[in-house]
Order: sequence, then C-alpha cells, then structure tokens
Amino acid sequence: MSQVTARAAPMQAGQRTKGAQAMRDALIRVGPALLIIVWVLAFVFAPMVIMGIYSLWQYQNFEMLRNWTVENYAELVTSTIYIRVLWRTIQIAGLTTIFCVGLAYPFAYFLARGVRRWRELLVIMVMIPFWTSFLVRTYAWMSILGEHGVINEALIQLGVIQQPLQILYTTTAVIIAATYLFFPFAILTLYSSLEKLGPSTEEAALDLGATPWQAFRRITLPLSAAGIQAAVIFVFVPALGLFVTPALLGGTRATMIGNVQVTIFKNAMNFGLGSSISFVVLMLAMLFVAGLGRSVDLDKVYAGGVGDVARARQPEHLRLRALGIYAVLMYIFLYLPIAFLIIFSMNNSPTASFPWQGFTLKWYQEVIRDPWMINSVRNSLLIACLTALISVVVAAPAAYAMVRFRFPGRTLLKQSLIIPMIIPSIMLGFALLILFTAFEIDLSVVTVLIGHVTYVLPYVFFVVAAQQYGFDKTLEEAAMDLGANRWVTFRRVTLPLMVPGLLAGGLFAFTLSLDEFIITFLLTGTLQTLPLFVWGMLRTMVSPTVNAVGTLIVIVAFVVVLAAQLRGRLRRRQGLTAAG
Amino acid sequence: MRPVGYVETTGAEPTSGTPDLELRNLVKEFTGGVTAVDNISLRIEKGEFVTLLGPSGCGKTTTLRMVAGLDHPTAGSIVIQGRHVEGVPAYRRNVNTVFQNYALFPHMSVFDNVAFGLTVKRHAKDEVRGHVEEMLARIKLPGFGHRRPFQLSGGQQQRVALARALVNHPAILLLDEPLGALDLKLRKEMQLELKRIQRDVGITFVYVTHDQEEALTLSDRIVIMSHGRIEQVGTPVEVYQRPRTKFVADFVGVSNFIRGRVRDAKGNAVTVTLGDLGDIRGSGGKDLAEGATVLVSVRPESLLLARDRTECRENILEATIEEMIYLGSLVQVVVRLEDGTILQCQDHFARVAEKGFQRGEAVLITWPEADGLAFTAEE
Repeated sequence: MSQVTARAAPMQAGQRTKGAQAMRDALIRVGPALLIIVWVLAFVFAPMVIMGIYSLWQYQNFEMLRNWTVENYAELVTSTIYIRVLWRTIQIAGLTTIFCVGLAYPFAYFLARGVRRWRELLVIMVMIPFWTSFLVRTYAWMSILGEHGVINEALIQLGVIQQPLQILYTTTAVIIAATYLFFPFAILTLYSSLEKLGPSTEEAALDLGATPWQAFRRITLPLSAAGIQAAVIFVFVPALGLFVTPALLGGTRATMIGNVQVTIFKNAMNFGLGSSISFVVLMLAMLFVAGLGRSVDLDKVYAGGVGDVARARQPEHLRLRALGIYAVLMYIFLYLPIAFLIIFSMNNSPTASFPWQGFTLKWYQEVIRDPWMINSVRNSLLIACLTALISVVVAAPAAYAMVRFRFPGRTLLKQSLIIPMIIPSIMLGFALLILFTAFEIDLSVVTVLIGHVTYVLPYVFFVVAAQQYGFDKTLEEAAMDLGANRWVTFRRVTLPLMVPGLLAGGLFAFTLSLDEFIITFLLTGTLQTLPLFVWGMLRTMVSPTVNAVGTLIVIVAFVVVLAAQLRGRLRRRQGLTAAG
Repeated sequence: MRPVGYVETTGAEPTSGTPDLELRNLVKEFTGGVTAVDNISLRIEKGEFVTLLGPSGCGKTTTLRMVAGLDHPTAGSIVIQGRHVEGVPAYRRNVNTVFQNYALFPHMSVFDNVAFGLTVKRHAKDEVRGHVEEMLARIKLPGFGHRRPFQLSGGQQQRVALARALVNHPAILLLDEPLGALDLKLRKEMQLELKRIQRDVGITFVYVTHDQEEALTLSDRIVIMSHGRIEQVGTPVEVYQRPRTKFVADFVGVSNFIRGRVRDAKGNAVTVTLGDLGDIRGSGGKDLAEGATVLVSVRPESLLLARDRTECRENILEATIEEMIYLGSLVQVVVRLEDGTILQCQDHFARVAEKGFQRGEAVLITWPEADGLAFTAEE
C-alpha cells in the first residue's frame, strides 16, 4: 500500500486503526533494512557472543570442554609472553599512528590548499598506492630494507657504512612499512576534512590580523580535529591487527598479537585462549575509539571525493613553497617502493635486489605460465564479483531506507555497522572462524564469501548512503506529480539516479575483496586466491617472480582507479551525482 | 483521460459553474505543533491566474503542496473540479506542478522529461511524440529534445519544467516560485512568457511567490497570506490601492506609516491628529474608535513636495528634505517630519528639477484625502 493513503487515513480513522497504520508504516520503512540486520546479527553479533562464551570455556587437547572457567584470562595475564606481545603491539600501532598522521597532515594541507590545477591528479596519485595490494606493498619493503637491500647498498656505495645495517626483521622495519601502508588512507581522510573546510575561515583570520601560524593553530587545526580523530582511528585500529607486516618484516623480534593469535587459532586450535586475547584487543580498540570522544560521521567521510576544484582558490599569501617540497618528498616515499618493485621485476637476477644484471621479461613469462597463479586470479575475480554483488544487494536497500526514513532502530543499525569498521579485520576473521567451527560448517568458498561480504558490507553501506544524501527528493515528487505511482517513480527516477552510488559501492567492495588476505587466510578451505598465492610465494621463495606479480597488480590497480576517477569526473560534470 | 489539446479562452471571466479549485477550512499542522496553514478557504474559477503571495513561512508553498497531493491536510477539504481529493495520491490528481528548482530528471533527455507524464499514463508512442514536439515548439525550444537538462541555461530549464507539466493538460497548473532562480532580466522576460502561455492554453494557474511585483504583474487575483492565514484576496488594483490590513499595505508595494490618534470617525472618513504636527484626514474601516491609535498608510507616489500652501491638496505637513535619490525618470525624496518620522516620496525627476528642491530644505508635503488609509495599530 502506498504511504500516501497510510498518512492521509488518520484524518477519518479512529485511534485503533491509527496504531495499526503506524505499525505497518514502520514495517514498510524497516523492510529494506531487514537483510542487512539479519546479516549483521548472524555474522557480526552472533560470532562475538560465541567468542565471548568460548573465552570462558575450558580448552583441552584441541577441544573445547563446556566448563565455565576464567583460566583463559588467567593464562593471558600470568604468562608474560602475551602481555609483552600485547604491549609491543600497542607500541608499534601507536608509533605508526603518530608517524602516519603526523606526516600526512601537512601533505593533506598542501593538497587542500596549495594546489589547484593539478589537484585532482595529485589526489588520484595518493589513491593509487592505497588500492594497490597490501601484500605487495609490504613485500616491496623487503627489498629496500634487507641486508642487500636498496638502503644498505646505497649507504655502502656512499661509504657511510662498511657493514650492512640490520633493519629488516626489527620493529623499526615494521613501523616504517606500516606507516607506509596506512599513509595514503590517512592523507585521504585528512584531505577530505580540510577540503570541506575551505580556505575562507583561514582567510578571515588572516584578514583580522592573525599571522599564518596563528590562523592555522587557532582556526584550521581545531576545525579539522574531527578529521584528525578519524585518521587516528583508521590507522591505529587496523595497526593493532597487523599480521602480514610483522610476519614478513618483523622476524621474531617484532612479533605482534595478530601473529600470536594466528598460531593459537590455526595451529593450536586453542579457541578459549584465542577468544580471550581477541576480547582484550577488541576492548582496547573500543576503549580507544570511545576515548577519542566525538564519534566519526562515516557516511560523511566516504562522501569525500576529489571535491569541487573550481570553487577553490589558490591562497598565495600562504607559505606553501616549503610544503610543496615536502609534498614532493612524500610522493617519493609513496612511489619509491613501487618503483623498486617494478625495476626488480625486470632485473635479470635471481634475487630481487641490486646490482642490475640487465633487462628481462622472463619473470613475467614464468608468472603468466604458472597455472596456479592463473587459477588463483580466476578465484579472486570470482570471489570479488560475488562479494560486490551480494554486498550491494544486502547494503543498498538499507542505505536507501536509512537516508530517507526514520524507523525504530535506525541509529542502532548505523552504529552496529560502524563496529566492524573499527575492529581489526583479523578479529572479524577469528570470530567467524569460531562461528563456523561451533556450527561445524566446513571451510570453503562459501565461508570465504561470507567473510568477505561481512568485511566490505559497512563500506558499501556508507558509500551508497553518502551518495543518497545528495539525492534531491523533489525529483521523486515531480515524478509522482506527473502521474507516476510509487513503483514507477522508483523504477524510472530513484533507481537510475542511485546507479552511480551502487556502482561506487560495488567497485569499493570488489577492490577490497580482491586485496583481502587475512580473512581469506583464516576462512579458506582449499580455495586459493591471488593474495594467498602471493603469500605462498613470499613464504617459500623470494624471487623476482613476486615482483612481476606485484607489478601486474599495481598496473591493474592503476587502471581501475584512473578509470573510476575519470568516470566519476565525467558524471560530476554531467551533474548526475551530487555527492560524487 | 482528457484529450490533450488546448481550449482558447480569454483569461479570467468568473464563471458561475463549478470552480476549478476550492479550499474549505484547510489546516496543516506539522509534527512539533507548527501550524503552517491555519484554516483557509478559497475559490478559484476556471482559467484564472491566481497568485499566493506572502513572506517565507506564510504557508503558501504548503498550501500548493497540499493541492498537488505532496502534503496532506490535517483538516479541511480540497475540491478540484467538483471532486474531493482527500486520500487521492499525487499521481492520481489531475494537477501538475512546476517546482522551484525545476526538478528536471538529470538522467533523461529533454524529450523524455517532457514525455514522462504521458508515458507513465501509457499513451501511444506517436501520440506522445506529437504532443511533446508541439509543446517544445510552444516554449520556443524546438529541436532541443535530445539534449540533457544540464546542457540548458536556467531559463531554458525553467521552460522545459513548464512544458513537462503543461503537456499533461492538467486541470490546474501549480507553480512554486518558478522564476526564483533566474536573474532579474530573465525573470521579467519569463513573466511575460508565462502570461502569454497561460492565456494561450487557458489552464488555471496557481502561482506561489514572495515577490509582490511579480504578483502584481502576472495575476488576475492575488491571495495575500501571512502566518498561515489569508489577509486579503483581490485583483492587483484592489490589493494595491485598497489594502484591507496594515500587513497588506506594508507587503504590497511601499507604504509610509504615520502614527496618530483618531479624533473623529464618520463612516469611512477619519480625522487623525498627529499632536503638534496638526491633523490629517483619510479613510478607514468603520471599526475605528475615537481616541484609538492608528497608522495612516500613504504610498510614496501619493506624496508631493510643495513650497506654497496654495498648490497643496487636503493633507499638508511640514518636513525637511533629508536625501534625494535619483532613479532615472523618478526621484525618491526622503523627508523628515518634526517628530522624527521618516517618509519616502516619489516624484517625477522633471518636476523636482524644475522646482529646484535641495537637500536640507524645509518643504511642505501634501497628499489627497483619499490616498491615506488608517489601520488600527497593534499595540
């Protein structure tokens, strides 16, 4: 039934029918969100509850005995190893956050204020490393920091040192690489907040006699505080759950809690102890987010694109030249590892390092002929497509309902969807692993798919919702005014105008899924995806074939990001999307 | 389904038959207790161009949206061509709207936008094509069908929005500040264009604006609204020359208000004393009591400057010229009475120049008795 009659009815109807109408009205509004509610209950809340229970059950000989006990927590506290690793994890995550956000802020400021004509391109250049494989970018640092890596070779050549420095397999290496890995996201988050702020308040402060430094400190910095908080959360929380980076670059000296937990879950199958550690880490993450106070408006964060370039003016009075030089250095930081990755992929040497032995494409030939590699690419693409499809089908109706309607539990839904984003994804992986084990579900393509969809769902939701916020409701009114009923209005006006948001959400899901490693690693049966394939290569042999795979991934990411941006730009120019 | 085609009429002769639109004791309360429309009743005849005029928040747009079916009345009824429409959804009402921001569908061509109403009613393709092209010709945009809305200028988008509504040949066309987004020059052009099209198609137009000049230019009748109520309904001449309330006198055109006390009221004639400044005469409602505080409204063009009492009309006051503002063929003269009241006078430049009035000069201001209207002052 149409909402129109439902609302008009109370004029004639009595109290009782009014109540029934209100009930039905509420149901119509909740309806589109039901799928996501069921999904979140089944695959976020239920696993957490089971994990809570498991942390209080006794473990013995690879089995959970159903006796209530606190011995898991006792073991965690009394055995110094866990506490030590936990403390190291917090230190690494904390330092990474400080370096990352500290380095990113001036850079983001430069992007938002210092450039105009090239801004769009410069922002895209930050996005490209962001969308490039996490694994490959981690690996790239091995050939830079290693014993015969770029840094050591360069320093020896320059005569600064005689013996190679031990950088690889230290906490320093992990912090450097982690800073690098989260750097683009920190920049984009800060940029989005600074860009929205616009230069006018700062200009007003300058006009009123503030020095540039005062204007920055008293106006811009406080106004961008929310952006800084978001950046801090989005670096610190995933850094708590790092696994790949310490595994590849940290050696035994920089083991983090993620590595310890993988051993506990995968090898020892001690779900009791694993659950208790997970809970402690989750509490840490939650306390940290809560401690930062102001909640982050995620639907707004994801609304940020490149922004309205035409509107921005170039403030010449600011001392931006120094920032420009700084930005160049940061771009070098962003692209140097990728550059070495590409260079070594074409080096005719069996190790991915200097000296240059001549140009070759044999590593590429080796990769392309590898049937395992082809197979894993096919699997990854399949999983990514399905993940995109399912997540859009589940999340988009809910995003639609949340932006338009008020319904009971609306705020709760939004907050529940933020939770999976602010817990390290490795924890989500453990929780789902426990769920599947508890219900004796065999690990397979299905479990991987569930893991991926659960992981990308909040992102898809907020991306689609962000686009919905820009929707002009009078367009629907105009359609109804012209004689289209609710269904025709939806089909001919609402849905076509939602398409850019659905595509953006789907593309986001696709890219996240394609690059997803840890959840797949925990939830896969025999299925091999590309990141798992690369991981296998890194564990067994460090040969330039890895560089060749990495280079191919970089090229694909480059093309996809560029295509998505150009398409978005074209659409914005056509005035099709309000939020971009 | 009514045939799509146009009846030639010559505007607004009130007919004795069924009115196109009737509002009866219409009330709209929004959640939170805000009464946007407070018990209004109105009758609009076939082919009339009626404007709802008022400041923002007066309830004019809400009234329009209730007629369109986009908002629903809390109480009262709406009758369109003799048919009660409570509970009838927007898409089943024979009424179309031109939206303030045009609300053109950005993902459709101009042709598809205009054709939308006909296609959702499943008219035959050839028929649709014919009507759309005829309509595009009528709004002087033939051959623009393949373009997208974003490729059009503001004025062109406005005309497409008009065509998209008119092609359905609604009983009533509702226009919600349709010229609000255009610049002044274009707005003037579009006003004439709208008037021409309305005469041409003979459809009843209900037009919402806060621009009193636009209302005076376009309308057969103006409905002036304030705080959800109707202040006055009348032709442009009536509401300008015979405002029934102080609000109308203030909102439509420019008025000077002179505060005083009623000395004597007989029938419509009132004598108002201004204390030391003397007495003035004017007309007012029968309810004015002796001794009541009133505001006498006088239009700037009614006030004339003089040096000599022999050239004056019934009312005369002494004043000083504060400012003279050149407006082309007219001059706006700001004068001050001895008690500090500031009045605006408007006179022909030629006359003022000939007499050589100067800033700071003590002059007489004068106006005919019939041009002063007394209203009870809200204390």
